[in-house]
Amino acid sequence: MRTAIELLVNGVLLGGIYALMACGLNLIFGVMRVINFAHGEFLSFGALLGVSLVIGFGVPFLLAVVLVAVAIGLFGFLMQAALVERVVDGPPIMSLLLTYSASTVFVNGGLLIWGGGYQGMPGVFSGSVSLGPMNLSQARLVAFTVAVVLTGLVYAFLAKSMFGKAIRAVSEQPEIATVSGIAAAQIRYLTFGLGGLMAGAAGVLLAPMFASDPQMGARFVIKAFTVIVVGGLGSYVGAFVGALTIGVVEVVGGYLVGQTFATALLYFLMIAFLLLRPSGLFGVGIRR
Amino acid sequence: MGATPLLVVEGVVKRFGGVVAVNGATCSVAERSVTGLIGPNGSGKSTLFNCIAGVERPDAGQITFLGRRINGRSPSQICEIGLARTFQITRLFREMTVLENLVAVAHGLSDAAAVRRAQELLAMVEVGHLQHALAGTLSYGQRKLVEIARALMFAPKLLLLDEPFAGINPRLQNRILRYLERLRDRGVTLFLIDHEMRILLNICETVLAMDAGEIIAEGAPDVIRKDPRVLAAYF
Repeated sequence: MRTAIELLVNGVLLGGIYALMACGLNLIFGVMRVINFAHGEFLSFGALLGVSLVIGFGVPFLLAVVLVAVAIGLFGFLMQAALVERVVDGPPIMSLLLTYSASTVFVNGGLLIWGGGYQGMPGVFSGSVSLGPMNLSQARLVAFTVAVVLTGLVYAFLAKSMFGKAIRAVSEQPEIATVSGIAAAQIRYLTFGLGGLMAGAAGVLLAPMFASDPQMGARFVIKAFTVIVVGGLGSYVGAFVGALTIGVVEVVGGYLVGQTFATALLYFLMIAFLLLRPSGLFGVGIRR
Repeated sequence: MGATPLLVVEGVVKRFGGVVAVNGATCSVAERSVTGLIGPNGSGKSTLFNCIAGVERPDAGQITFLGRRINGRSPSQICEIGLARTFQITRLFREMTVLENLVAVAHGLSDAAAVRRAQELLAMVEVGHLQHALAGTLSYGQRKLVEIARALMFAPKLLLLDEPFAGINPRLQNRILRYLERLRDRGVTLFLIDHEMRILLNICETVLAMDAGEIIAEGAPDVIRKDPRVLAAYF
């Protein structure tokens, strides 16, 4: 029983970090209907920058999260302005291929900067915390807490602020939003920046748990896609619930059937949702 | 017309493939006036509105608003200059509340000021009690009122209204008429498409008639409704 609870809690903790990444990816999809393949590189750059700051320059971990999130957010903003905005009104295949190409360029850029080896964050939140009968990883607890707070702040921003409402309006009916006076291009820049900020923060939060390298983005972006298929394309709340589900499936699956097959379980889940419930748990469906 | 033109449309042409929807339309709307635009279905009225609001880019011609050429500008830029519109088929952000529908389009205001302005406008069209309702749950008439309020968030100088009286009962038509009169008295210029001559006679100083993409007649409402070219276009 204790093991089952521990597995569940660990799955939820991992899912919280996936939520941070997937909510940003889903936000970008919701507003622009662009599938951002380079989102994984926002995460890997976040992780590697975080390692450089914390290990290389001795920057405190939580300050590094903030600095990296802002830097990757700005990177996302510029990527939208310089690249994606130019194809946003074109057929979806254009933005798909563009972000895929950008992803490849970023991976190679990362290899030039950080090399191909794995980089870790030894000694950062490496202990464990006893919570009743359970022993939980300190890194996971901190990462989960920060991720949930950040995801919640972005949710509150979307729900309460004027900008957030404009983002939701563009997401729901872009043509009407534009004719009603919302500067859709600015909203798209802001959304891409926000997505980058969330993925960058997720990268730093993952760094104490997983070894980081410039090619790690692909592994995580596929998980984020699984999350948004399960949670529902375009739904922020769906991405959060989907992420917790995927975290639990990954951890519990890893314990029951081994890590390799646990990854396959995620893909089974994605296939099942695509075939049986393509709108996901909370999805808005595909706008044609 | 006498008064200074706020909006000037000169030789506007809009084609969709081989179909010429607007064929050299030329007209003007005087400042602080109420101008009606009538014409049979498919005569190009909504397309002309779309060209003015920046939704469609004209293939030829020029549109000037407040002395500035606006064709080629984005709809949001045109809104910022002071031109807002409503739609023939009301389109709100259905998954957002009524209040959020208005606040989302606010510009140059703080969050608190945007909420205050939205609440004032909802009160003006007497739907303040619906501010927290989801827009998707409103009746057709309520949606019309909210859409008018949303279009006023920018404090527009010119409001384009595409069939504001269509599909609603006479009581609500009279209510909307009253709101439009109030807006006119506050100095907002109104340019509206409609088929209800009773209403156009009531509120419009000038009516333009359109057929086959062209403006075929212009004048006072009671003159226009007897104009043989207009009668020929309808019958």
